[in-house]
Amino acid sequence: MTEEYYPRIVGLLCNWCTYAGADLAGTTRIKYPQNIRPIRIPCSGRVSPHFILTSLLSGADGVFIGGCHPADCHYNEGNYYARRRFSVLKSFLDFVGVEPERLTLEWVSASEGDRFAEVVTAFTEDVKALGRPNPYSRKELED
Amino acid sequence: MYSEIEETAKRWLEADKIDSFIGYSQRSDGSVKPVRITDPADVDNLYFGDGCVHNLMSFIKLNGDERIGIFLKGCDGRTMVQLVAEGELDRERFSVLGIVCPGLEEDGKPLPKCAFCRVNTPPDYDELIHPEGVEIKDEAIEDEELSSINELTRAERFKFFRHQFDKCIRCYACRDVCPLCYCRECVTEKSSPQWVEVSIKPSSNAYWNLIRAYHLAGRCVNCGECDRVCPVGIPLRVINRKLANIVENYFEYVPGMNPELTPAMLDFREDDECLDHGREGS
Repeated sequence: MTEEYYPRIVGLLCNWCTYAGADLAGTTRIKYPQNIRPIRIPCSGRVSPHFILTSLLSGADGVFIGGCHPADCHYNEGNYYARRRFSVLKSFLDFVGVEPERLTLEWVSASEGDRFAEVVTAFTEDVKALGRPNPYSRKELED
Repeated sequence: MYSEIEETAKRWLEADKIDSFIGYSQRSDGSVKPVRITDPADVDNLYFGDGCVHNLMSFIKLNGDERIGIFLKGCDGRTMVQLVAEGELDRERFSVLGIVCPGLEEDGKPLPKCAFCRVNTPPDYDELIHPEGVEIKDEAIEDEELSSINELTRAERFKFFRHQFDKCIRCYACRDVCPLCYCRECVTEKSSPQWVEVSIKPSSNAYWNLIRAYHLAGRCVNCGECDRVCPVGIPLRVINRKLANIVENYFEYVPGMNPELTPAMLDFREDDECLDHGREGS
């Protein structure tokens, strides 16, 4: 095991803000780690706990959720619900043994390509710093 | 022991205020079973004492127009309030006989759920029995079973829960007994997409236990029924209690106390400060 730990990160990005922000980061050629696998979702409020748990079980090392800034949600309130649900799930997963560094919810608007790169880089570094796979991945649980 | 239960049930049934009364009854061997009484002549079977652990709210139909009289302890009373708050229950159909619950014992020791009981009186009742010498509790008590897990390191907690979830045989008794697990189609029965694998193995067991607990966040009133029926002894009540604490710390919401209040997970505030993501961006 001399290989560098290469975390795989699931990115659940809101269609209206963060996905567009990621797009902007790409078109303006801002560099960010390739560990993130973006998935476009209609709204951060669409994120079900199933998405997060399934990602973790399927072997993701981190889950990054991106939504519109508070008060900027395309559906007015989706990100507020997302914030509540996510906070509770994150605290609960911490209780059962998932490092809180593996989960994040960030607000990135469509014009913040640079911010997208910044938060994704910081998050990837955090997950990398853990240096081990997520304990709830199927592989870890069943070995 | 509590003749008020018999009197009230009889009075309600005779006055045609209710169609049936749900309470506890003692078998000849001393064990306790829930009963549904429709004939006023049968009320002398009603009983309350140690062994009356069941949450009688598990034995009602959410829909229908039967008028039900029901005997509720504090935790059971909170279940009813929570169901009303979630819009699942028509309070008008129910006549509630509450009791200031003295707490239940098993083998001379208080049950864990009673030892750490927060509310021993139903928040909403039509008539109340207040046994002499029993105080009305309404203050949060630290749950020692939970604290002992909280004190472990994260790696130890993982080890602990991994072992607990490994034991699960997925009988779904916890789901079936829970009065607040009322989804007509449970996520475990959905196949498109199939979130929870049917086979019994560590990963799907963990998934089921995590999602079950999370579905009860901000809803569970800690009646402890899941814990009681679990055949392999997973500490479900403690897991639920943890989620209740998380929700209360973040949103100052205690389920099952006020039917007018929107449940925490169906609600939000623009200035919620629950999130610790706070990584300052540009």
